[in-house]
Amino acid sequence: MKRYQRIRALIIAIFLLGVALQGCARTAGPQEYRKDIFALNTWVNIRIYAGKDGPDILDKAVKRIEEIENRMSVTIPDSDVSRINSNAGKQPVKVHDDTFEVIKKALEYAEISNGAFDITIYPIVKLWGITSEHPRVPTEAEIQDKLRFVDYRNVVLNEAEKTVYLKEPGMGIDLGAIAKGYAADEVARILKEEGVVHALINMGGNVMAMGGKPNGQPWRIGVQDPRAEGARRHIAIIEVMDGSVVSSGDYERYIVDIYKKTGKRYHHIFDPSTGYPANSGLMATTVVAQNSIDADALSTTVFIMGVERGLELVDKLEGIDALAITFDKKIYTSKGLKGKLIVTDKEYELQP
Amino acid sequence: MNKVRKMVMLALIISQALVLHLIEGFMPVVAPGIKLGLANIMTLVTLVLFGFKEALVVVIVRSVLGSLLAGSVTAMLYSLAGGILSCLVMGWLYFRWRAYFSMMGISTAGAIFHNIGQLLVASWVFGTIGILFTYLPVLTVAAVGTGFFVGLASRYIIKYLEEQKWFKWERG
Amino acid sequence: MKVGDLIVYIFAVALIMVGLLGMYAMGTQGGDKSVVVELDGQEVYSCRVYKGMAPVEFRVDAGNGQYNIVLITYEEVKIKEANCPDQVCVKSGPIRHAGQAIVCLPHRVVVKITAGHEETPDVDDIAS
Repeated sequence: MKRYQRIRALIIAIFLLGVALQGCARTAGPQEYRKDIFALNTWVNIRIYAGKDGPDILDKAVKRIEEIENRMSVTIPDSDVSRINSNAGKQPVKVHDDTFEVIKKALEYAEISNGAFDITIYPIVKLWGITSEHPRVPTEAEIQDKLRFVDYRNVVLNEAEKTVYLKEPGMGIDLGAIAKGYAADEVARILKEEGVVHALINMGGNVMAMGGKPNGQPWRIGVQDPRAEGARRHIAIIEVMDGSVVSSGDYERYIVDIYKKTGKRYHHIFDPSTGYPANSGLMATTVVAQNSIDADALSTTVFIMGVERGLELVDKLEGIDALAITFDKKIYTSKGLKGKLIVTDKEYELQP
Repeated sequence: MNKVRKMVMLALIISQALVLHLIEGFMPVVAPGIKLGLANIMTLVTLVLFGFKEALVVVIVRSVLGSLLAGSVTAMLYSLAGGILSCLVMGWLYFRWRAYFSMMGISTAGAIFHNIGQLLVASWVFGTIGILFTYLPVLTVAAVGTGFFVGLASRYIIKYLEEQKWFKWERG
Repeated sequence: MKVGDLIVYIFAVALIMVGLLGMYAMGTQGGDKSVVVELDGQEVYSCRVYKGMAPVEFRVDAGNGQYNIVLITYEEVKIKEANCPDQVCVKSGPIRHAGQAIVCLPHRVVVKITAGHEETPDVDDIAS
């Protein structure tokens, strides 16, 4: 009897040990890591799913963003862009490869949009000072005076020397409408190199999605409500596995005082043909593209060009989709987005 | 029966209940923690042979040990709630209404309340009473089956033990 | 069979009825509704339900390869597919009214319909 019980106890012990060990053997999968920083004049948020080296990967991404900012900011005195601007009409300036690439890309978009997208808008941007502390509405004469300097064809690139030259003194470039997209692409590239599969990058509203969610679902990206007055609220949803979603609109930055008094929005996206804030009947545009640089540049372009010309341009480009929201709260989409946009706000009417 | 013998007997019963408890954990019937109540065999046996207080001790020790060995805090909550409620109901039926019930009837009632106890805890843990309604039908059907089986098994075990001279002697 | 046993079985049948009735009769507030999916008591997904919405299919990843696929339409919410051992969540069918819930205990998943639209985001991020 005793012997029998001892054997039984042993069997139970082994059995229990097995059960207990099984409970401990749960392995930890990739974890979520987030990083929030202020860079490129905006709030940057990176969310990745990675192993223990997650924080290191995020640090690398942040370093790269800071590098890009130091080269492309108009407010940092020794940045490539500042040096190009201060040497306008004087001499070509040697720049870093990434600055060169971005300017080259910007000129391509200027070409295909017939100058609707134009980085030489800087003299106008500076004149209005929408993003500065003291924005103002300039006189017609002032605008005409500065508009003379706005012409992307006066930017000379030297591929071999990697130099950029602005032909006219008084000219200036501003990469604000494209640099964030480039930075998002660069972060995505670094994350991929580090083996990250699922990630979501948000550079002040420029969203770059990678690999869908860890559960295999696509990332659900909201389209900002252009009349949420500062609140983060969406009116529609776009689902993306890999790709970038970027919005531009009159709601991002505008002269608040004037808006409060008159209801007129003097916003930060200027039409290079008039020197005034773009007034094409749109409140906002959103562009979906594989690369964030394309989505970034095109969201501005479509906003300036308006529904018809803008969406026509997008339909011609491969792998690019867009939606445009008019003042009467109607949403127009490019061909590729038909049936894919999930409108969540009843006030907005999706056009067939 | 002297104190030490009783303790040894109860320890043996608990260990057997523990094994049943763990074997049940392998059965893919419902969920981690939620169990059919095979271990109720030992509860019922204790109830009949030793009394209510002893049965409650068996239930609590079995639940706590079982969850420590293979489970979680929630599993322990499920187990305790189900076990104690079932023990209360079976004790009440056995000591009060024995004449009207067979072993199977008592154990079926025990199994049903075992489930109700667990589901109440689950509803509390998950924060929705929906769980109770969703699982009640399935688990009750299962309880009728296991209840019958548990009752039958208990009856044979009790009968067997009561026939044993050493047990009778010990009991006396 | 003794009298008491019979009472126990009648009680069991009554319980089954209560469960089935409860599943259908739970809360019937109209108006704006939201669907909330919880895993381990943590909200993993939520969305508003409204007329004319596109059907949403959400896959709950409960870890270790365990999953439940939730199908949300304006008319009803159901678990279309799951690899849980009991399949109770799939078999329990669709829910339609606020207050109702589908539960998958093996995967610790709860899908519930709540009344009114809470200010919970149904997007991962916003392009602004």
